[in-house]
Formats: sequence, structure tokens, C-alpha cells
Amino acid sequence: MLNLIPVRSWGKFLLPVLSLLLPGIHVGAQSDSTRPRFFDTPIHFESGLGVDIAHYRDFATSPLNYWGAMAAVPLSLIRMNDRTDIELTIRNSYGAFVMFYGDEITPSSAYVNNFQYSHLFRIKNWSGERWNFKAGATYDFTTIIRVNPSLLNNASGYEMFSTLSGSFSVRLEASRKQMKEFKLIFLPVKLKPRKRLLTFRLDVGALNANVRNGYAYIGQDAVLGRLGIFDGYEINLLSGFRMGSRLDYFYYLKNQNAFRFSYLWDAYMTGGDLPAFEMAHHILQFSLLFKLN
Amino acid sequence: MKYYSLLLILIFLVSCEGLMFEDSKGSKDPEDNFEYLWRECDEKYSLFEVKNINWDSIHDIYSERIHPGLNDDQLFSILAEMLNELKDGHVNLVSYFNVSYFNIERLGSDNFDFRIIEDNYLSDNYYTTGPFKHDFIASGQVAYVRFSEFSGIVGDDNLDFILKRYQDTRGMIFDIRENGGGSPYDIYSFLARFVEEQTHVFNSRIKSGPGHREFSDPEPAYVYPSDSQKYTHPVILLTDRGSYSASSFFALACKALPNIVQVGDTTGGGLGLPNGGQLPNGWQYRFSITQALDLAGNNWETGVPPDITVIMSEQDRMRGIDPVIETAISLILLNEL
Repeated sequence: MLNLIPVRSWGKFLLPVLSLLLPGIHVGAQSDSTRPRFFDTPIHFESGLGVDIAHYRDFATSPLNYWGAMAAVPLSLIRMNDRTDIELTIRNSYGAFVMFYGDEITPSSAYVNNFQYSHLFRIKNWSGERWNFKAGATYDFTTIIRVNPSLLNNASGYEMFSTLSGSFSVRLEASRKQMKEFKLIFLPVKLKPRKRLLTFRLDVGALNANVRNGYAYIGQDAVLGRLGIFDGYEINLLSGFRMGSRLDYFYYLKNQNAFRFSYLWDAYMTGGDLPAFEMAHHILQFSLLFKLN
Repeated sequence: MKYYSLLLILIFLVSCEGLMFEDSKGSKDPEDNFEYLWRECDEKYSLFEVKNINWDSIHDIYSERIHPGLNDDQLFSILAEMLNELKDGHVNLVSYFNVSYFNIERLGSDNFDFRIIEDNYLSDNYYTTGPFKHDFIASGQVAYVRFSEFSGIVGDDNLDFILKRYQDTRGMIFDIRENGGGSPYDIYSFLARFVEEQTHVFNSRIKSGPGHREFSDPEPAYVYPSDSQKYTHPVILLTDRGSYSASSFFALACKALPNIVQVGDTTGGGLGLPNGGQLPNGWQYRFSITQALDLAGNNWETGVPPDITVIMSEQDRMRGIDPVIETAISLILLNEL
């Protein structure tokens, strides 16, 4: 018997995913009137800009750290309420890196593309009106393209990381529920009621895999007259480690559009016997969230 | 208070990568850098056995000269000297103040002077088509094509024009003397015009482990026939000690093609694809990590020998004669191919 999991259980997982991907579809879900119905929860499209302060080290070519700043552009679909959070993000970062050591200065550049899907469910026993705890999973697929001309024939480096993480989040309902008036020096200030959320999420890699150069680092395609950038690369399953976190502050407007201020941290490394590649990102990001439905 | 707690968690996580990643490996210590470079070569350089080099004894000799008081210039000289024991033009050490290299050309006498060819063989209006300089010589019976660098920009249009222009000649001289190499892709673009079917021209294998004999299985290099303009007459390939890297690969591939004859001096070699890396002090290095083998399994890393050896003498130079070209012309016109 292959069908070990009842079809209805699959439906519980698939329907929210489909609903997120196809925002126009509303599936009738049964729930009592006191709890927010998931499919009534707005979907937001996020577009933003961030600064990605990153560093990497590729022990196969250098024992030294390269530090850099990248422009990060995230595009996301977000659907979240007290019971479930779903977020689908594609983030592209591109920027310059440099290695300083003594009198040696070595420039480099990198392009990083990250696809991320996270799905978290409320932990009932811990959650209340103000604090909301969730647990679930996050999948990341990251590709990195690096160019470092000073490494001569090893000037180009490519890596791919695939990670399924266990995720845990905590959300603080920090809304201003009543009009607040005060004087800032001599100026009277009125702050209207606003929905505000402060969220922290931690992802810890559980299933890590990567595509990485083999022993010799480069392949011999060029010598053999073949075109191909992945000659000599190896797929490493259950290898390496990844960990990430993000701190988000949501500030909703009257029309349910929102601002999001985020700090993201993401660090990953290869494993195995060959020299490791390791990279860490610290991203400060500001986004606009547009309600789609 | 709760906000402060979150901030503390954040600060903890920012430092988490410090727990995940290894400590800084940067070092300006001469011994650290010497040992790092020696070990990288020991585990990845591909030609110790071909060149009969005892790398352990090299370590013993040079480690005695390493001490903490060395300045950068002194350390560079010692490391460069150690690398030059490999006698490999694909080996370099690069710092902000110097670049080391092993001069292959000086292994043989100078066997090429383009000024002699311009003055005595080519017309004043010889053609330049892409990376090629070319003209009719020997009363229009022979095509001379000079290729000074494998630039990676050999285009089909360039080759179509040249091969069509000389299609009625009795033979072609293809001159890659003092061609230091470049993009190997040009090899296949050019040779595709001289074969009628898929042709196995050599094999290559790459380092797969730290042992000096640990290599991948040999992989074949094929030349595939082009659908465009071909050249069907004999071709003479001119080489010298300055024909290095991609030029040596080209000469090696030509050994497998019966209608191409190599004349001149042995090539400089350089049949190992180089890598690249960085020392703990930030200097850069590179060395060979592959081996190329002819179809019989021979390794010509120290130079691909010509079918007919011709060396230019000082008297030839004084008389404005290029004996290598003269030999090639004779071979073509006397139908000795």
C-alpha cells in the first residue's frame, strides 16, 4: 500500500499552497465565526530593496574572507494570520566584494539568487492574543555565481544550496489600538490606531544538499572542446549546514497595505571532505506590501 | 523588556556564523605560507611523475631557507624559486610587487622573426582577418597564415574567408611559432575545417585526489567536421619553443590528423590546464592540474616534437631567410607529404 497518508491530509497542506499561488481562488473552508478563516486572509505582494552585507570564503581557492555589499531585491507573496503563515520569496542580490590582507587587495563580485518557501502553523498551547508561536518548515534554494579574476583560471565559482529547514517563529501583536496624542516639543502629534506586528523567525537546516566543485575545482571541458560550466561538479546530499533568522516589523495602513522593515541573517556552508565554501548574509530590507485580494 | 529580549536573540544570531565557520586563516608568517603553497602543489599539481620531480626533497631544501625574519620580497623569491623547480610555464606566483614565471622560450633558440617574414615573404598588403595575418607566397602556390594568439575570437566568417581565398593553393603553412596560447576553443574551430569525420585527437585526465598518481579516467577530445568551407590540401604547421599551452594542444591534436605535418622546433609544452588560488598572505598562485596524452598514451608535457626539425641559424637570420618556411614550401611544392 503506497497511499499511507489519507488524501484528506494532503488536502490540508495543498489547498493553502494552491491558494497562495493562485490568489484569485477562494476555497470554502469551514470554521467558526470567532476565528480568522485562512482563505479570508489577504495575500500581500511584497516588493522591496535591501542592503546585503555579506562575506564568503572558498577554502578550495583561498583561506581568506571576502567581504562585500550587495543590493538585494526581494519579491514575495505572503499570506499570514494567527493560525498559518505562508511566504514565497525570490530574492536577487548582486554586489562587489573585496579581500584586504596586509598590502594585498583582491576584488571580487557575486550574484546570489535565493528562492524560499516557508509554511508555519500555530502552536496552540503556547499562543495567546498577544503572542503567537508557530512552527513549520522552510525550503531554500540558493545559487551563487562568483567572479574573482585574481584567481586566474579559477576565476569563476558557482555553488547551489538546497535546504529544508525546521522553522520556528514568534509574533508579538504590537498594534496601537487607540488614538494617541502627545506633544513633540511644541508640536501636537496624533497617532491613529494602527495594526503593527513584530515577528522573529528562526530556520535551522535539517536536510542540506549542495552542488559544488570537485577535487580539482575546475573541469577540463575547455581543453576537450566542450562547452559546460558544471564539468567536475559534484552533488552532495545530506552535506553541510544552514541556519537563518529574520526579524520583521509590519506596519499596516488603513487599506491593509503595509510597510515591512526586516533584518535577515542567513549562513550556510558545504560539508564533506573537500575544502568548504561558507557564506553569510546580513540583510537590512525595507518593503512595501500590497494587498492583492 | 520583551523588545530587549528579542534584541539579545538577534545579537546572538548575528554571532552564530562565528560558531559555524572556521576562524580566520590569514597569515603573513613565512612558514605558514611556504607550507600552504608546498601542500597545495603536492596534492594538486599533475606533472610530478612526468617530470620526475621529487617534491618531498624540494620541501627539505627550501624549508631550510624559511624563517620568521624574512621580508615579503625575500619570501617571494624563495617561493618563486621553489615553484620554478616545476619547470612549467603554467606556474606563477603573483603579489602586489612581482610576478614569477618560468620562461619556456629560453629552453630553445629563437626560431622566429616576423620581420623577416614581412620583409621577404609577404607582400606589402598582406591581409589581416580577425586574429590571422595571411598572404599568398611562393608565387601564389602556397598560403601563409600567421596565428599569433589563441584569442578565443576565431570566427566562422574569418575562416570561411581565408579558406576560400586559398582553396586553389597547393598547400597551406599555418604558423604558430611564439604563440603563447590562450583559449583552447580556437583549436576545435580551426581543425573542424580539416577533417571529414569525427576524429579522436587526444585524451586528457584531471587530478582527482591528493596522491601524485590520482587522476580521473582519461576523457577523449574530438574534432567534429564543420559544414562550412574546408581546406583539403596539405597543411604544414610551424612550431617552436614559444608555441605554448593551447599551441601545444593544437600541435598534439594535429598529430592525429594525417594531412597536417609539424615542422620547426619542439613546442614549449604546457599541456596541463592550470588552476588558481590564494595564499594565506593574499598572494596568488597557479599550477597545472591536468595531463594530456596522445592516442598512444604518451605525455608530451615537455614539448610536442616536430615531424621535421628545422632550426633557424644566425646566418639564416642575417640573410633574411626563414628556413622553417623554406622547408615547408619545399615539402608542399615537391609533393613530399
